[in-house]
Amino acid sequence: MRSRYPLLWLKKRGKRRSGSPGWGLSGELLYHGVFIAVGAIAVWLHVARVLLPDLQQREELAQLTPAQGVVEDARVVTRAGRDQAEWRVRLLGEESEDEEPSESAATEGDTAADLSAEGEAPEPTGVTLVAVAAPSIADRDAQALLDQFPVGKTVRCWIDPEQPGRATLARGFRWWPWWMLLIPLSLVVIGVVGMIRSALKSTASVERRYLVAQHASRFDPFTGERLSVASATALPSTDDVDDSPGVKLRYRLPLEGGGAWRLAGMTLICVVWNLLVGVFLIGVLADLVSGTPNWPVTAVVMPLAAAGAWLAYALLRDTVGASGVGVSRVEIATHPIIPGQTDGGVVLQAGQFRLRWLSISLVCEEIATYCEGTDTRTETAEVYREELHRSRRFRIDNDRPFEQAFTFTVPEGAMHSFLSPHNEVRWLLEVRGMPVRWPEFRRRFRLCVYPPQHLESATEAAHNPAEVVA
Amino acid sequence: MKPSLSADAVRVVLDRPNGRYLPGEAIEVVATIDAEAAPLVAAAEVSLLWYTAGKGDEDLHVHAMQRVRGPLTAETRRLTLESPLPMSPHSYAGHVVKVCWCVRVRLFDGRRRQTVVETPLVVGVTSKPAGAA
Repeated sequence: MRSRYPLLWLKKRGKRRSGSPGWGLSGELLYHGVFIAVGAIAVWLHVARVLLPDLQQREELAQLTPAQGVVEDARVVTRAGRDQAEWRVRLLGEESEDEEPSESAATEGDTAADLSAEGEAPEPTGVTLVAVAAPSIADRDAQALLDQFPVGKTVRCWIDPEQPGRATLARGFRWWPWWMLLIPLSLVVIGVVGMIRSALKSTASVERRYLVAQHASRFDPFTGERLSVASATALPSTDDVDDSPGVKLRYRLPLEGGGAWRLAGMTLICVVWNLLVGVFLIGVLADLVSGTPNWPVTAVVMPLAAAGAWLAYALLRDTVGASGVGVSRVEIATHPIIPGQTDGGVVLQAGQFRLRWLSISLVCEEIATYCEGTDTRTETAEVYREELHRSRRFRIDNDRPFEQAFTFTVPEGAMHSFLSPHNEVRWLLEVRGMPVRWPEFRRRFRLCVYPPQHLESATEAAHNPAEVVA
Repeated sequence: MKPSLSADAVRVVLDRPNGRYLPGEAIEVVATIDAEAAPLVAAAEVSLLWYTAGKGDEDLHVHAMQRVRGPLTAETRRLTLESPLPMSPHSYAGHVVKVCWCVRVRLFDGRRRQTVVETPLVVGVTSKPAGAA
């Protein structure tokens, strides 16, 4: 149906794009250019105003000679216009106290660190310490810094032999401004990489870019070793099954995960929700008890409290289902399975409870993951289900777990297991049970169904993709 | 104004007219670019690939590719791609997941405009979900 109003924007799915490629490229280049410009300006300012003065000061300090002095006076002086506290040194006798202190030192941290250092010590000289603090620095902080230099303490300092009025308490070098350079540099790198990617996207075809990515993904970036070829064959790995021997049959199938995280998430939601509702409920009850009920608030809080109670019940049901029912295991004789092949399996169910029924089914699902706006959604479609066995009305005891053998056949000509980043065809063996007093439980075990060809051939083909670039 | 390339400028021929192959079999593709359009082509690519369609975001895997740069001559305007097909994945037409094999020819005209011609093929015997008739 044609819209009555002009469409200003539409949600795009995945990487699909529309519009002019030229304008798109211009926009992307401009976007990344802003990153580069901002980063470059920040680098220039940082180098010009911080790093170069630091280096200059370091060279000057390197020309000073070590000396020792005694602190004869220490006080805090507030000077407007300075952005950090500094220690200034005056050698007693060289200048009067009222004069401006000579050129100085470094930050307070460096000074404190260097005071513990040993050096060649000439005769003690009188030292006056003056802490110059910006108005933003609290007096008590400046005083705390000054307290490190009690009057009478002998401290190490460096003096300029040509101008004895120039002295410093520290010659330390600040490293953190160099680390801060990483911030603007990272902006420049992001911009440059983005520009290169945009340029490549506009000049290289999607197939060529995928081919480059495929080659890169075949090797470990750290060791350079060839990685698994599961992505090339689009077949799921069988490693987790190969490494898991069974007790009754050769392979024990791994339980499909995710249940524990779901339970943890539900617990968190349930606790937070019920705590919040509890606060409101206490207020409502207090009003009721005092005889001044607030009915509008009560009408709002009661549905929330009911939702909290339902959450608690659902959490209890799932917790009991996960922990109350014993361990389920499924073992099979051969793995991976080939379509048309009949295989034997056994299900083992532990625990102590009575069951109304327990069934084993062979299931095939298609799972598609897609982006819708900023959300990532998953759609699952069950395309095959066959019940392999069903037992009714029996009891399981701790010393005698339930054990049931079964056979199954993946249909001839059925699709093999398929796994790619956003799409999957998954084969499963599903165990479902209905205990007498507990809620129904469902446990799923992933099967690998491979194409009927020899598996080694598939692996070899994936290792040696044919590529000719003229 | 410089004329642009169209999909008619390229003709793709598979060595099997029905386009059905078994996994592991060799495939030979010949893509011929029209002699009149050849001077307009800055580069051409022939790819043998599979991609996913359906509800999920697209995944793509290039199995083989050949690329030539322009200007195309009488010899280079005929691109031949020969490769053994892999054992997996098979072509598949499911409910929300589809796996499609194809030969894709992409022509670049040097002005960031591309012309794409896609020739589908079927790998394997599977084309329906398990259990479907």
